[in-house]
Amino acid sequence: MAEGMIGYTGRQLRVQLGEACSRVEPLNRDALQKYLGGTGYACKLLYDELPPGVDPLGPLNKLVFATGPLCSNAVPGGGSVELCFKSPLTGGWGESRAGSDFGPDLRRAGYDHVIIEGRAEQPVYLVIQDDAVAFRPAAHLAGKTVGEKLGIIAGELPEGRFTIGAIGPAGEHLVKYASVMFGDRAAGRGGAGAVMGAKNLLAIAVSGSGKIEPGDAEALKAALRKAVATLRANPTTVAFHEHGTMGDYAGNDEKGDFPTRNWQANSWGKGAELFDRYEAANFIKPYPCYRGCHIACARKAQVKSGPYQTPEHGGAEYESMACFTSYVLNQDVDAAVHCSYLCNQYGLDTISAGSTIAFAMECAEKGILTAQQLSGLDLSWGNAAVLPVLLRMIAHREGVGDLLADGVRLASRHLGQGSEAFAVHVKGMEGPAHDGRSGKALALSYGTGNRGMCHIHPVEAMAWDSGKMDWGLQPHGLPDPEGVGRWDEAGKGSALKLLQDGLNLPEILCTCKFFMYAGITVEHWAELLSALLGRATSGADLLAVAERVYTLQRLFNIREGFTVADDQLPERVKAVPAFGRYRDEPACAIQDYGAMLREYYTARGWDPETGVPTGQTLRRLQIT
Amino acid sequence: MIRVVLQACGPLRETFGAPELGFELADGATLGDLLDRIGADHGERLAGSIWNLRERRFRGPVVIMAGSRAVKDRATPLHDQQVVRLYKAVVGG
Repeated sequence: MAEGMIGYTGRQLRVQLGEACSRVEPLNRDALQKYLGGTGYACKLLYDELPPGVDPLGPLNKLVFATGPLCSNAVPGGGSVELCFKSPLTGGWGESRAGSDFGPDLRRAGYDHVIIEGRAEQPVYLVIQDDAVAFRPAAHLAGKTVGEKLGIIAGELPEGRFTIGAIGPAGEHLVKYASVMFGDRAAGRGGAGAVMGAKNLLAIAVSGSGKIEPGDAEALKAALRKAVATLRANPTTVAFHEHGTMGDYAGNDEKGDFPTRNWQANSWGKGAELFDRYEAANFIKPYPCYRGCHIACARKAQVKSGPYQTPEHGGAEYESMACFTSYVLNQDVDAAVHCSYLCNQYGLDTISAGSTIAFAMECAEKGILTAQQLSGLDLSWGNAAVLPVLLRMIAHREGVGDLLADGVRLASRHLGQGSEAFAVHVKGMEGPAHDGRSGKALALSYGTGNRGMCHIHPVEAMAWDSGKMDWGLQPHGLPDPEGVGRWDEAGKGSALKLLQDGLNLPEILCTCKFFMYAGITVEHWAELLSALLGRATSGADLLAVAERVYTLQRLFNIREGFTVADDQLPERVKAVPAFGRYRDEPACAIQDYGAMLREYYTARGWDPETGVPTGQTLRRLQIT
Repeated sequence: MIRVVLQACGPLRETFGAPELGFELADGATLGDLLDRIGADHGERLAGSIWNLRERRFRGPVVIMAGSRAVKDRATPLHDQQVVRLYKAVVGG
């Protein structure tokens, strides 16, 4: 192994679809030092290689399947793959993670990253088996659901254990929030599926037989034992396994962390009742999304009978269930489970899909979407029956589905008539099922998230000031959450900088962030990484890398024309809720968002008014 | 009679109004008996997000730890002077 690349395969595979060829390249050693892997390495690559202003759905956009040095079945959370791209939904930085064996298998095949370029003339799928890379015709897969595609491809693959990532009809129809599916697990947010569809690439299958030797095998064993012992002693590990992400469904409703009726309120009052119904009728069992997971928080769910009968499948996560219940006032849990399943089959991001339907319901209520535009569909709040119909129309861009397939930002621009005021998004990405009125750090995190109003990076803000978690970051300067009021505003900006850096590390290392909720700290990651790379790395070193990555992603967006205006929140999500238990609680509303934003920019070393990283900051972070 | 101590961790301290609560239970009592007592003594004022009043059990990501082991089976035997700890995790993602 080349010097400085211990712990990596040392290679990346560059695929040119237009010419049906590929080549193997050495990793960029300087980028490894500064950005490690995952979303860090991929950001550096895309920043250097993508021309500013490139069409996200054109052949010049690139899609990186990225891994990192901790991407391994043996490492806690290491069954991950990060997809990085310019997002068709936001026009800015795009990244999306899936829990899957795909990442570890890719590394076993001998590649840390696959870079997809160009556009195939006809639909193809890619088969990577160690050194062999094959381009397979895929016309027979066109129009098939994800499940159908996976089944057909599995029957066509050579001997070996393969992991497959595939798009559904939504990706083929360039729905701007189409996902890439790894079985039932989604790289859902930001439209990676549309980028793949635009390239006529319907799936990638990977199988590998190699092994990556760590720099210090004994130290790795010791670090793994320590990490696993930490996980086993942490009650959150049990809670994730027993309840999955749905576990907080009722609690979020109660504490005002539950966007309701297209964000008109932050609580509904139905959470406990619907959670019980889901547990009794739909939940089957937990399962791991990759081999070796120590938590296994994913859920097998089903609908046994009735109009929404749904086979056993992996899904019904908290975000999906909230988006198909509280967002649209649907009280039929069977319908919500069914919609989550349909999104997986169509290859649709459940959050953007549910959010966009909630937006459409409000448009229909206000007469902005007419009966003629809706082809007679009844978009009344709570009408469960219309949800599956709309999902099919969105995935295939039929009727009003064509408009909704572009997301709420573009749909509201098209419709006008004041609909922009209730198109809830940041940077074009629809908001997930947590509400900044439950804790103000979350509001700021939504505004400043590099990929928009996402459910991954901002959630720790909520879990800190409202949930009282600290992830072992207090020694690095994070204020003790016990001394912080959830509705305080001062101090949230500076704390958020550290929260974002610390909890962005899993995306860079290519692990699952839930492991940090279950006790794994930056020091655990540093010990594991030191053993793998054979050189000492500290938690502080990793936080410095994370800060560099976050800033480079910011620069990516700035180069695409993003300004301070793109860090603003919709007025609706800052206001006192229109109904529910927090209606008479003005303290939950955002009082001075501008002040929070300036505090945050200052903490990051960005200009306090424009949010542009200063030259001094770029020199400190060695961003060139 | 046996005495079992329930330690409420994190935000649950506020929920129960104290970091620690003692329960006198009959000899041979089980986790189910403890849950019944929690329901009888505190159920009405526990939030619906964490307590299922009808079924007398915790709701959502509330974990009961006995030593380093999570317990959930109502038939789990308890012993005198046993300490059980109660956690509420953050799991929604």
